[in-house]
Amino acid sequence: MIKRFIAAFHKASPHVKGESPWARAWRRFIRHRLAMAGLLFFGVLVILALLAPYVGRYPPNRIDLRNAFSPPTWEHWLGTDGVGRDVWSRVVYGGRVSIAVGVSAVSISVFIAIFLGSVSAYFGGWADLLIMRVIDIVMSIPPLVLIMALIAIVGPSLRNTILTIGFLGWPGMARLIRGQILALREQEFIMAARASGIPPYRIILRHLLPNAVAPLIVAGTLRMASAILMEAALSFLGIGVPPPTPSWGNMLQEAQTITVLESYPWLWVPPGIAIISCVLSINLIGDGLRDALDPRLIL
Amino acid sequence: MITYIARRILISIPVLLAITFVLFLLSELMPGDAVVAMMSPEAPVSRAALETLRSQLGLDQPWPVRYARWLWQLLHGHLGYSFITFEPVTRVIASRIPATLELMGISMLLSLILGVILGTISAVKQYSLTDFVLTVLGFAGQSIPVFFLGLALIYLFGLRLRWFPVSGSHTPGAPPSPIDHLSHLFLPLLSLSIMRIAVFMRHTRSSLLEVLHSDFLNVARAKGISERAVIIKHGLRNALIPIITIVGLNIPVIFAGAVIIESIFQWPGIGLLYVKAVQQRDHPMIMGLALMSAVVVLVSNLITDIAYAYADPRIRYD
Amino acid sequence: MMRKAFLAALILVMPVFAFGAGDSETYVEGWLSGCGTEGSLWTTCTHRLDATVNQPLVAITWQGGLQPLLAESWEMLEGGKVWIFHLRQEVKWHDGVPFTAKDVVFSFNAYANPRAGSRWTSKVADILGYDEFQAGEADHLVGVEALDDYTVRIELKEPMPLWIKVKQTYVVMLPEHILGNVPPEQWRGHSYWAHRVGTGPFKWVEYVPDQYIKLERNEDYFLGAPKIKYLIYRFYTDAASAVAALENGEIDTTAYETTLIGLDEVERLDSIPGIDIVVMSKGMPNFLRLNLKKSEWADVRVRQAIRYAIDVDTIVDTVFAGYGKPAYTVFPQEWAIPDGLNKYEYNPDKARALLEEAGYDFNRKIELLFHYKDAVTRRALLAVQQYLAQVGINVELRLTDAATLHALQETGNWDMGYFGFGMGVDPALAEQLLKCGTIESGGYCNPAVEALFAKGVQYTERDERVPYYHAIARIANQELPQIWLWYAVRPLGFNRRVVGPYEHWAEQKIIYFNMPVYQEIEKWYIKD
Repeated sequence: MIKRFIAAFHKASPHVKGESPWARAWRRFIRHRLAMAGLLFFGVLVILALLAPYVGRYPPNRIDLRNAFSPPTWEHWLGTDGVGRDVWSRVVYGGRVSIAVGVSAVSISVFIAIFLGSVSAYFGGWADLLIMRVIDIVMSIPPLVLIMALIAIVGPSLRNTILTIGFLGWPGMARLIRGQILALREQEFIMAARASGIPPYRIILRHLLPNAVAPLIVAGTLRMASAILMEAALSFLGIGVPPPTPSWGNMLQEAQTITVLESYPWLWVPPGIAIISCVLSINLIGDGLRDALDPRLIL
Repeated sequence: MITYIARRILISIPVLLAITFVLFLLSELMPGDAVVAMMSPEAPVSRAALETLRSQLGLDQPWPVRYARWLWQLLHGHLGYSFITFEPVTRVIASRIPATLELMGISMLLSLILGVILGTISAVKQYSLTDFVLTVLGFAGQSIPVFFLGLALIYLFGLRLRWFPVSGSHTPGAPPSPIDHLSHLFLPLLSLSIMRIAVFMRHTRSSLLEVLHSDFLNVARAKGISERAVIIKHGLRNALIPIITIVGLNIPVIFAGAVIIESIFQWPGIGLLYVKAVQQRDHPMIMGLALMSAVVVLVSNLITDIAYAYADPRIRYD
Repeated sequence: MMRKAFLAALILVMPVFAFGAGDSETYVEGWLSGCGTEGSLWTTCTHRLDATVNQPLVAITWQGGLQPLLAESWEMLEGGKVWIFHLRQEVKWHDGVPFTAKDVVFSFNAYANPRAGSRWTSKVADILGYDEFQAGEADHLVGVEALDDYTVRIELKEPMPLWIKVKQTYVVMLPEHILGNVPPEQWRGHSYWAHRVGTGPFKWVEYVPDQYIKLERNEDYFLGAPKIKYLIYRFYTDAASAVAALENGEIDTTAYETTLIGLDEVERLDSIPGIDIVVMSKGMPNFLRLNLKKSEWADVRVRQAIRYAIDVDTIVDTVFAGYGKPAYTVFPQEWAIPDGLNKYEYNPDKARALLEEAGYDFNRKIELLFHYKDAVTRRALLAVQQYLAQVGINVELRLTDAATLHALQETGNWDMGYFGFGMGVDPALAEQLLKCGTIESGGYCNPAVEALFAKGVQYTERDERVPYYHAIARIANQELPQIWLWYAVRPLGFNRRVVGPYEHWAEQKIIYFNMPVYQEIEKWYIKD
């Protein structure tokens, strides 16, 4: 994908001597130590999640009532939870769910944002008016309340969690894209493209978006972090991923009493560390991307 | 410019209406209504009683009628009465806003101050150990789920150390005292602020870094001005401009209230009100709160867009 | 510099909390956010105020007996068809107005008034003239009559010796001089409920929304001025915060209307010096209700299969930490349960056989709806889910709120739900659960059961009632109109610095829901 952007960029812009901005950005990124650490760690989490069936030692939903609340042993590396399920397996499978929620929700947001944002900025006029108003509408409702209402209507499920979080995220990014494209629209190379009769969709796809996409990459990365946190918050309210499917958020929810906090730390420390470190690494990556692509970006 | 502002304000009105309509639809689509929401599934209610209550609340009317009625009321400056407590919605919201503004406002202010200070230190000592530690801590702070943080703080400061009370905004029945109030404010404030401090810290750091290496600061240095004055008087002032933008973007958040923090700490603000209104299907309350937050968001968006349009004339598309 | 300021602030603030919120004059109870100002006529969780501020004529006591309060004595005539109440004569409302028979007549009518829409109207439904009043043919209850200022005569439609215990104890006296001139439609939102005037041991002082209600002792209380000066009810939304408040002394008692303390927390909390836990029976079974209007659930073999498939004994031993008991029938009262009931011992093979025999479609995906938010219930249901999955029944757990739950049941758009039903005071209360046409029955209709319930309330002596309830219990065990799982328990926490709450609740053993309970609160005191 990156290669295609680079190629498109080369085709569209006046010929630049020396290395491309993307390569320069990549070099800047590599220099950012924390961001690289974040990338590495996130990579490890993703691999663990993908290999869950092999890494987890028990089926994550298998209940063993007589063995509940067992502390970490050789049998159960991270102990068992309130109904005897293996915590390690649940953390690993939960990673699948949480990361999937993060990635899918953001993909949905980005897709909608790119489409609506570019249409809005490029065509202007009524389309822009309408889309900006829709953005205003969605943004003016407190997010948690909107999600609560939506989930009350459609019922809690993994799919609905992804859809609602995704639906919440697009307005901010759409505005971003719109701002970028508005600024680019008046540049000479775009005017040249328009004058030479290239159809709008091509201008958008091949000329405008590749240049506008940088802040979106950063925003998307950061939104992934907040999507994972949002999933945890929804689980706290009881409207997140429904049992028995594990997610880091709903595993943390089991720890919502002082007793568990104090007496059974293996129930909340692993998912807590997992969320914090996953979100942390994503944030570090995002920070690195921002430094690499354009340090001036305010997101 | 004036026409731009006027046009935006004019457009805001149908947008407000649309927002209220969308929220009305959402409330309608949620299964159940206010009458059954307060029912305990363990205690029976006769159908006749349910119907009586429904007609008292006007819930037996078709929804277009109800929406029209609400609009009519609104035009007369009235937001109706709560379906659950029957208090006037305006009065309830007005009584709860101060608590929210207090918590969120102080949190924003505190985070801003601490964030800017820490960010400045981090930028000035770039690549040092201090910078590294602050960066990691900052990001860690941004990565903790807020309900978890709240509970952990309750456990640490409320139970283990017994330094702070764990709920409410003041000791019940006791005479109002600022110290008592502050101590109740502390834990929820801390939970909220940890994340925000990190955000402000990062932004301050990056924009200050950029300014620090710029030419006009070198000119100031060449003039012989002390490094400290250079950083604070010249550097920080310019670096703060983007920070102000962020504060502006966050104003609606101040009014939205922190739902989760308010329910963990029983802080009597708007967030708690909103959640209860949704759970209890209290339509007038939901609509009133939605209207309020919509107005806040529209106003702050308008201000932000005006600022952008002022700065960059190309954005004035119309 | 910031560090110093922080430390200074901390030091300033610390001493204030050395003492915690409850001092030697104030007793603080934890309560559920949202319950405070609901009126007695409609609420399911504000009945505490009906015991401390307002009162009934005769209240049920913590021992299950009767305590004359606003009625000094009463007479039962015509085998329980006519009741004469002799009212206490020195009583004044908290605002000074004397309490008289006028208030009693007004109050009973208020519960029956169709324009008020009281959810507890069924408690006065046995009074003569109720149906006409409800239908709009009469404008008051003819069966309630003031013979003079301090005597009230109530006539029922039929003799019902248990009426005073099973129905009258729910009816709370309201001031006619305040609400009498207000149209019934406006009672519900009236400011009275945010500043009650009653006759009870405590007077209303102030109400801060979502924070607390403060009451003060009534010096003129007819059973003697309470020893405690202030009673504060503090509101909580989050269970963990309420438990933390108990631990650090902010409240002295936790709420009983909902589960705040999980069964897995009992041991740790009980071992804290000064705090004791009583595990109360909720006086109710927890069960799976099925939508019997759907053919697959109407087959009794399927329901029995479900019960055989679940290992209730293990769940009670592990998830409930040994508290509570398995339930084989509807009644929690020991005397209403006969011997020889089918215990449905855990038998997954038999369950599968029954399902196949009934032609159950194993590909069905169903939702198990529930509204309890506490962790222990969630674990129990997870176990149920797994047991059912082992015999081929695939359920998805879905936590909903009361509104959604009711809506789904009304539209018939549901399969299975996990519920409880309060009947601690008397097994007669279970009638609603097995009655034709109610939502609570899930579509079950058995006229034989209805007839048995009708007979059961015609006697006062327990021995005479036993055969009817035993018969109902056997039918409930065989036919499983709801799938009885276990008897629910709820731990309550007490700070022993207050003498009275723990002692009375420990003796009470069962929680009486939705009614005021006399617990001698005027005798409670705080240890120095």
